[in-house]
Amino acid sequence: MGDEGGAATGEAIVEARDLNFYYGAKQALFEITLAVRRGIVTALVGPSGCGKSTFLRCLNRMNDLVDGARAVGGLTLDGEEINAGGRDVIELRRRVGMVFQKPNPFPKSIYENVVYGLRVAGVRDRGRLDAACEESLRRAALWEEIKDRLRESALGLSGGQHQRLCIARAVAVKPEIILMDEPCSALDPRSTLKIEELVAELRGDYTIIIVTHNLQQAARVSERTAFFYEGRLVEEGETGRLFTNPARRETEDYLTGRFS
Amino acid sequence: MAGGNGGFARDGKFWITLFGAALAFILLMLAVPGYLIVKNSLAALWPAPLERVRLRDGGVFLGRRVNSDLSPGGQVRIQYKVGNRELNASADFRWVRELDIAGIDFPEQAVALTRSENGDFFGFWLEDGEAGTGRPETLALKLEDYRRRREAEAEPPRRRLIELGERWRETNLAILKAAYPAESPEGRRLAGLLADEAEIKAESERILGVFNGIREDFLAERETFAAADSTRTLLPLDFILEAIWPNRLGFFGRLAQFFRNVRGLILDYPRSANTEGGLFPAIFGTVLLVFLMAVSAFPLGVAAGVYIQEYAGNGFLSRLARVAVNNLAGVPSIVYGIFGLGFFIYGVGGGLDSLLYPERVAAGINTFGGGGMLWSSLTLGLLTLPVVIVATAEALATVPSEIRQGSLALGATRFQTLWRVVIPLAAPGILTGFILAMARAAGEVAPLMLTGAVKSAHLLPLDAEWPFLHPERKFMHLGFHIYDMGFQSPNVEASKPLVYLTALVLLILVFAMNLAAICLRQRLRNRQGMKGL
Repeated sequence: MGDEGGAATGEAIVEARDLNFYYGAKQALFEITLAVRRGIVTALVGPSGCGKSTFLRCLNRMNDLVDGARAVGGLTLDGEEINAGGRDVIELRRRVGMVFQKPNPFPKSIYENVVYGLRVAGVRDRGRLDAACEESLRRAALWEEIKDRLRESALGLSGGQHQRLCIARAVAVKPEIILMDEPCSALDPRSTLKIEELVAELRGDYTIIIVTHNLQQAARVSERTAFFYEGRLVEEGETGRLFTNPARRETEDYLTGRFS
Repeated sequence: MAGGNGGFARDGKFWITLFGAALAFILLMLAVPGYLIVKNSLAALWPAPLERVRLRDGGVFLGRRVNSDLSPGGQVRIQYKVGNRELNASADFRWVRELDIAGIDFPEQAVALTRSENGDFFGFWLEDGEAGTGRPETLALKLEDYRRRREAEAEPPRRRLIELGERWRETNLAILKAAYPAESPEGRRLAGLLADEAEIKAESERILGVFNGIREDFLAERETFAAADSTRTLLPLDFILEAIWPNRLGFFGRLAQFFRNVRGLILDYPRSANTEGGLFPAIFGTVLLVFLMAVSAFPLGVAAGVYIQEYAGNGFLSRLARVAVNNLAGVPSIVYGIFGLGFFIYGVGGGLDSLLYPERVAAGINTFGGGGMLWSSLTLGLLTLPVVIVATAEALATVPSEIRQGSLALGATRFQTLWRVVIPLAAPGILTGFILAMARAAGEVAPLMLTGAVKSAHLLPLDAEWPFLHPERKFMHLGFHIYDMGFQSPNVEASKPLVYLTALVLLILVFAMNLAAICLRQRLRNRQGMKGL
């Protein structure tokens, strides 16, 4: 895919080819064909229930947790089939991190939250864990605020700090891709701004795919935007172009608020 | 008032009042027995004054007021504990109509003796046989001197006798073993053992003779006491466990005596067919029972709960298992008792016995094939398993799915997620299940009656004797103790105070265990930073 190159260059890291997805008998995604490029921020927008979160969760196979969920069609990460029979889901999820809509820190200390991914991967070396903790918290712009409270419970932090902690936690395992599922929808405007700054900060080192309801946010943080409607990918393109000059009628209607 | 006039019924105040009344009723139902238990327990421990009651018909007695009520004729009656069982042919309690009382006084010289035989004695001490001369200090000195001499002279042979008894029992079991089967190569050992036994027997008899001689000398040391009506009696010092002068005690003296009584209750062994003395073996048995129950049942229950909730899925079989577990919680406890008797004692215990001690089985001696601490605790464990399983499953179900997904999304396996995140989060809920299970187990009596609780067991299931824990021993239990004293005692009136006290101790014990578990739960929550959840 990919029309006019623009600012968003870089080869495709994720490629979906005629991807269909079903929850039991109900089809949630229809014939999705989309390439996500390495090192940039891609926003997925669309009205509620349009399938953008479902698509996101296909990428790290979180949909496996749902009974009767089934994907048919091509979906590759670095050219390897994500849904292949012998695929190691654990390894996949280490490469494709995720930040959820509602901040979900573990009821452990801040330190243990950040190094959780490394611990479950079997890292025991104290020095490595300490270094990863500091580096991840710095990347999530949280280090200065909480460096003296690493042993305290993570649940004592504020909502915005929770979400940045979750980002630090995802960053700590050094994934290639970070999926963000409406990461700001539970946050106040100030915290939202911080997360957006953070996304801008992480761009380049990571490929970020962000689902959002907030079109301004998509416009602010992403290089490319994909518009989903009723389980189909309507249009994908460079964000500035898509917002100012959409190619499809449905996109224009959505952007101008004619349906939601 | 209800229904009719719009407002009250329509805005729901009627229902709210009704619900509030329901709660108030329940609280009342809790408060009344609680009040009765505490009141009667305190009365039993408090050293009340001794009243000398003179009756209009000329009779006179000393007693402790325990109760009063209206007789059927509308007269006030007072119940006294008068003790002196051997003098009052009837009983050691007495009801008197207030009308018949000519006068009451509180003689300073009145002494209350706690005795090892015949219960309490209320009367006066006649030092050197003279009325009115007995001084408390002199009697205390006499008793102290007496006990010191008895300790020095009678204690060593007594200990030796107990030791020999234990050796005799062991040698007998060894003889059984060596003699079974008769043609075993251990036959030669048998001769040696038989010689040992004869030796032990001979020494036992010799020492018993010595001991009895000493004991007779000691029993001959008597003091003269008189009841209120001047009936004299000679009491061996040996029978006197404690002598107090209740009417000379001030408030703090009474308080000190109160605490001495509490200590005796907790640390002493029962006397006089459990109607007097302390509760030590019963308290010990109850605590150890609940502990062993927890150790055996909780890990199993948690494992089963985790499997049902996390791995079993929602198929027909797993739903069947859930229903079965839920219904298991409703099975009457006596059924568990019967199961414990049939399966653990006759089945497993009998099997163990014929495997390990065939010679004892042949001689009709049970080791594991009889009721005991081990089988009781396992039976109670089975009884509480459903509570633990259901609580575990429900606690796991309340862990938010976002947390699980957060862990899985970081590359954790399902088991890592369960072990590192889900179970710690569910731990307070699981602990709540433990608390409920422990409370239920501590108060359970019916299954214990079939699996090893007994009226009197002076050997504790845990002691300094190798191998320290004796899971095959029978044990005493507070709940069974209440039943035994309240309904199986030859002297129900005399054991009544102890029934209340036992109930109180059991309640306090359950309360203390719950409190400990609640503190633990709170600490877990605080550590997770979930204060106030």
